[in-house]
Amino acid sequence: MNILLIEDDDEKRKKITDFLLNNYNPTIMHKKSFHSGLKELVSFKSYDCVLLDMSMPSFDITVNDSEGGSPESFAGRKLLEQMKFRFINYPTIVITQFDSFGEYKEKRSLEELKNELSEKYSPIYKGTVYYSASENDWQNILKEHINSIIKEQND
Amino acid sequence: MKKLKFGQNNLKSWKSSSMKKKSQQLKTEDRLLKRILSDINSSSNPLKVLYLFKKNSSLAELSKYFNEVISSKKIFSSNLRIHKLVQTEEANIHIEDSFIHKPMDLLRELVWTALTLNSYNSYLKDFYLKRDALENSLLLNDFEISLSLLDEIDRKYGKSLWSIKNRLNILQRKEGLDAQKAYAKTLKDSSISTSSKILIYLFSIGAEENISYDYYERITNKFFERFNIRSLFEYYKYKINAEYIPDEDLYISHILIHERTSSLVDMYETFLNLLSHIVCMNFKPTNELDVFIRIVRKMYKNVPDPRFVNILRMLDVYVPLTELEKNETILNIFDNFEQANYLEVIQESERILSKNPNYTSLYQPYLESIYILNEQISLDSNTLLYEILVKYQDMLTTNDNTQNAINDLFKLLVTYSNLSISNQILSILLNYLIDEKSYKSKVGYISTSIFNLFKHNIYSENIKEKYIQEYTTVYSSAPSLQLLINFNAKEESFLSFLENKHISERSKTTLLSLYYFTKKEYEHTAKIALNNVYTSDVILKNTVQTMFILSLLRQNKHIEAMKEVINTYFINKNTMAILPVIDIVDVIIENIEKTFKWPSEIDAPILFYLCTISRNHDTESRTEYLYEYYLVSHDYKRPTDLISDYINNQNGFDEKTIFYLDKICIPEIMKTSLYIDDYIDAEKERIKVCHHLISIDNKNEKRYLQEIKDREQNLFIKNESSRIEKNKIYVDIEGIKKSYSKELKNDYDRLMSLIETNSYQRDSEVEKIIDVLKNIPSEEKNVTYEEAINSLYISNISSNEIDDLFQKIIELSRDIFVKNEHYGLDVYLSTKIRHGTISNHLRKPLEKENIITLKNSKLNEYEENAYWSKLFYNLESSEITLIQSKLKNFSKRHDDIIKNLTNNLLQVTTSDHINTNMDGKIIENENKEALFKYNFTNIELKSIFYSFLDKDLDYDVFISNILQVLWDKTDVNLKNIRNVLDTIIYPQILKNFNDLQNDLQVIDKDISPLKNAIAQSRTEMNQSFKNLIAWFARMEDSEINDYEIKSAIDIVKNIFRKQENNLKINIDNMPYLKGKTLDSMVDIFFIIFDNAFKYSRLNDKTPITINIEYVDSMMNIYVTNEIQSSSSIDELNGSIDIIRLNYGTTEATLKTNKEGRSGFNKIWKILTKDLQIPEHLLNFGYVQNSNNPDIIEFYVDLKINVKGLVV
Repeated sequence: MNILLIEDDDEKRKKITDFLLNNYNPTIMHKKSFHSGLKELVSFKSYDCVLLDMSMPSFDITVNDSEGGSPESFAGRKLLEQMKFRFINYPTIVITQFDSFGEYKEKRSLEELKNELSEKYSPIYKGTVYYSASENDWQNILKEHINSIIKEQND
Repeated sequence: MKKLKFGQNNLKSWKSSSMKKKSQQLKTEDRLLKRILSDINSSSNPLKVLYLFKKNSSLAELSKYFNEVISSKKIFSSNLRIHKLVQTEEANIHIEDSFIHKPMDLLRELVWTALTLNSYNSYLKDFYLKRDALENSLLLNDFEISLSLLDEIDRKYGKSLWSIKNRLNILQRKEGLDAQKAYAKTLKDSSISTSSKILIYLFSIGAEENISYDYYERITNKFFERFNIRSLFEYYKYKINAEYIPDEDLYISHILIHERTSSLVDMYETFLNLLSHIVCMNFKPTNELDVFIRIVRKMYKNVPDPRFVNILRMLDVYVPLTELEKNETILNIFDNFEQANYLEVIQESERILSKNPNYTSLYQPYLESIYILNEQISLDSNTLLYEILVKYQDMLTTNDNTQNAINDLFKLLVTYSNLSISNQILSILLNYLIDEKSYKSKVGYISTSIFNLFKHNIYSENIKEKYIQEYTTVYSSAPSLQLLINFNAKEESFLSFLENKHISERSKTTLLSLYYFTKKEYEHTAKIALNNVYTSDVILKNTVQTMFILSLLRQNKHIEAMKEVINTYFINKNTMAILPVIDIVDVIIENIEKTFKWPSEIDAPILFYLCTISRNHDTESRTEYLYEYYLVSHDYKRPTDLISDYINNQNGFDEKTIFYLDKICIPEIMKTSLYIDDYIDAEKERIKVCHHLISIDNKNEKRYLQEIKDREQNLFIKNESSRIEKNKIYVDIEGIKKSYSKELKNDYDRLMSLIETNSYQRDSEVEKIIDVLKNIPSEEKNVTYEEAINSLYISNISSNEIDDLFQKIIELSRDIFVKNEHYGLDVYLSTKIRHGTISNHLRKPLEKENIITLKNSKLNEYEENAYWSKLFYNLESSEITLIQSKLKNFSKRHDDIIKNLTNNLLQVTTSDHINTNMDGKIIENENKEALFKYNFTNIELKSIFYSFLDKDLDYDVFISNILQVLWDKTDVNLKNIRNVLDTIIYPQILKNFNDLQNDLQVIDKDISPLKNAIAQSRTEMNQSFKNLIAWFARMEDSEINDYEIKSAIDIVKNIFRKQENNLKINIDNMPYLKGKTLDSMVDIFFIIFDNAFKYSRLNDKTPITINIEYVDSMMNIYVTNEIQSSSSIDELNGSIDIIRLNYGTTEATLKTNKEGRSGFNKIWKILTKDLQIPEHLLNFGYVQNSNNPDIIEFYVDLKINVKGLVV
């Protein structure tokens, strides 16, 4: 199973990778920013599944650019948008530690975000997993989503 | 509790009994009424009976018994508002009623309102006459008449918010801002209701002349931001802009209910205005609509307000032509216009409009006639009518003022939203803006009481037919009327009609274009447009061109339509407002999704870009994609590839390509492209594009040079400084400033204008408090001045319009600084700190030593620690269970501490200490434990404002002072956070370790590996926590690192692409300059270099020598460059004497400001104003080269006292 994991947080990436290695027999390609993720998506490689973080820097962090451009709160959504524009159809799961910010009505809940993604990017968008470093539930939900993708592909 | 007799079942039984024999009907109905009245009389809660009567009766029953029920003794004595709608005191407007209930369906609420109004027929019967007279006098600036009419209306029909709004507007126009504000203040200080006060406050801002529509909308949105009672929010929104109608029926009903507690005039005006909108919406008639129509007909019979005519026609009731509609003079104007008798049109229109300025149907023929004859509007130029006409003319002729005219008209329609003219302005605007498909474009016709060529189009076919029939019977020969019939005729008859009636060529063109478009004969429409490509008649051209573009769209020729729109835009950029941009974009998007193919024409990125910036449409990301798609589909990867290819092949750069390079090839758009490597790459690519654009599009050289300068400087800062250190608190100040210039400039301008017109009085009591706080001896302080003033909230501090506006500016600036989605502090906190980072950081030392496990979310408990179970396999199971239990507790407590930190403490709050809603109730602060506190107390705001008043109020300085205030607040927050982390959170973590270590003491077996792991982890935690505390700091002093003066010169060198061999730089003993001076130093060298190139006549090969030395706090800059001139040195020096003489004078500085601040006087401004340098000397002139007297050199000798600015 070929998986593209676009995630900038080292710890989170490691834990997701460990989970994938323990449960599947995947080949995992890692990318760490919106831009490097996009480049990988348009490469002619074939992926069975894309795992996408929501907030990431716009570019990879390098010696010259210690911040990787600027942080993009909704980089994951932008990548889904780019996939739609470029007619790329990999099944995609968003894995986020989504932290709502803002006050009052500006505050956006994870539910609202899920609804928006589902409305705009189905069928490539398969679901969202809420990741927490201190809980294990995300593993079960991620497993359900990946299994469902595998089942769909086998059908 | 006594059971109410008048229940739903009873009503049903009444209804069923009423279905019995017809002969008994009258008797039965009488019995029904008697029973209702008897229930009211016998009930202890007559209002509940009234409620059930309203809720459960059929509309016919409501209509029939309303008056009797309402006037029954018990209801009458219930102190209901319905009986007291005419109030003689403002204080009695908007008093809560005891008959309050949730709204019922819209039709029922409309019926109830109409019945209530019908009971006031005797009052209302001539109100419309006074109202029309008032509107006319206001449009003609007859303010004495307006005020006297308002007084009369107040006396006769009672006080109303409608009247107050008019009075504010009249006072603003008649006597100016002061008078208007003074009146608003008297009302504010009176015992008027809170709701009325809020509305008057907003009306008063809306009446101000210097504020724009967008700005007013922002103010009101901001005002209602925290308003969580939607019904009330929708009501207020409607009251401040009667063109705003809620989307949902429920909220329209709420408006009607709220209005029933105000006044008769407000209720009547709101009813008619809402009805005008409702009948133009997709109004779905119900079975009981006929009852409502009967009531409206009755109202019209008693109150012959002309607005009822079109409302009834829209309700499918034919109302015969009114006398006004049959006015022959008006019809003649239309006939004359069609027959090109433009002078007559002008003369007659002016005669009529000077008496009846609200006959808006005449505006277009009048203005077009003026345009065709190249005449001027000769109506009184001081009037509101004139103002509207001029703006409409600017729209029709698509000139440089068009967009401003549209914005101004939007503002006027809000200001005068309680008058009919606002509906008509709205229709004019919406019919003009081709993308706007709102039903509201029809609303203006409702209040059009005279003939209008298009009014009948809003009626149903049946009514339209009768209307046209009656017109043509009355005036069989009028060509304008016959047009209404012949427009549906076959082509041949229509053409012969146009010929026979001597319709002018111009009208023929317009009418045929419309005719063919309606008949879907698009090729003819195209032909007409092509025939008129070169016409100088802009109005005609715009009309046929728009028809042509729309016809291309109708034929699915969206690419051609797109090209046509972009071509039209490039011919006249002011046509943007009338081009169907959104229509085309929508069709293109639909087509891409169908065909999986994007358009490769250059027009596509331009169209999407224009749509994004001018229509606020959600097309930004598609513009980004189209930027790249255009390049790639033409075998380029980057803009510079395209430029090189064009240059190599000697292709000229057309206007579209230049636009694409200038506006679209910018880092913000390019950064999504696959062919841009990183942020720096995007910036460098843009700089290269700008360098090329200087020669490709030389007329904009200055703008491109400025952009290069800004970008080079930012790159230098990014490269040289470590300001964005990982995990440091950061706010993108450049981004914030961009946002400020968009969001804050209007507020700033308004504040300056208010300060200018009002002499601002400081509150001496407040000043005393501020002084006390500032002067507490430092040894007695355990808090800073900022902390002290932020904790002091003093009630009853006086505030006026200026204070309120300043508060708004500070709050808006704060919100952008803190919450902006792209640049604000919270986005950094969210992505860099809260977003899992802290959790990972503070869990890592524990995970490393295997003393923490994960929580099983489903079971809501922590997992077993397999590591220690395995290691301690030889322990008793009870001991293992104990260890597992202690480790689980430890894990939970540790995660809870982190959770509290991220979810509650490291959050942002902007709430005030005392935060109340409109009713004065305290609102619970959502983020009450948040440590990033950005609230301002009232005294703190005063203190900030007073300090601002002591400083330069120039926009740039003002913004920089605001940013300083916000950074100061951030520093206070960071200090507090470091303290909380150190003294509260860290001890909590340590306690958790202690507890675990103590808990494990009870096990007497050897578990030293675990104990060691805990100890090790504890030590590592100490370091991790220190690191965490260090995240909460920001760079001191400035955002830019201190720098060498050579860096400033290098930036300028890059701007001018100066080769090393033409530039000699000698720097001696110069210390580093403080980061904050970089921008100014770059500006100074930019001016010197620019001057050298401009006047040397040796272009960019000009050899320049720069010598800089530092002696006794003085930075001495001596710059020379060779020049080529046939004049003598004396002559040359003589030619610049005046510049030398004027250097630093007020006159020259003002000129500098006006001319975009270039030249040596800008150096003076930079040094004295921006850098506040007390002492400098500038000398310049022409000299002979010391080695070769044949060479003339220009020198600049600048000596700056940089004490305090060097490191």
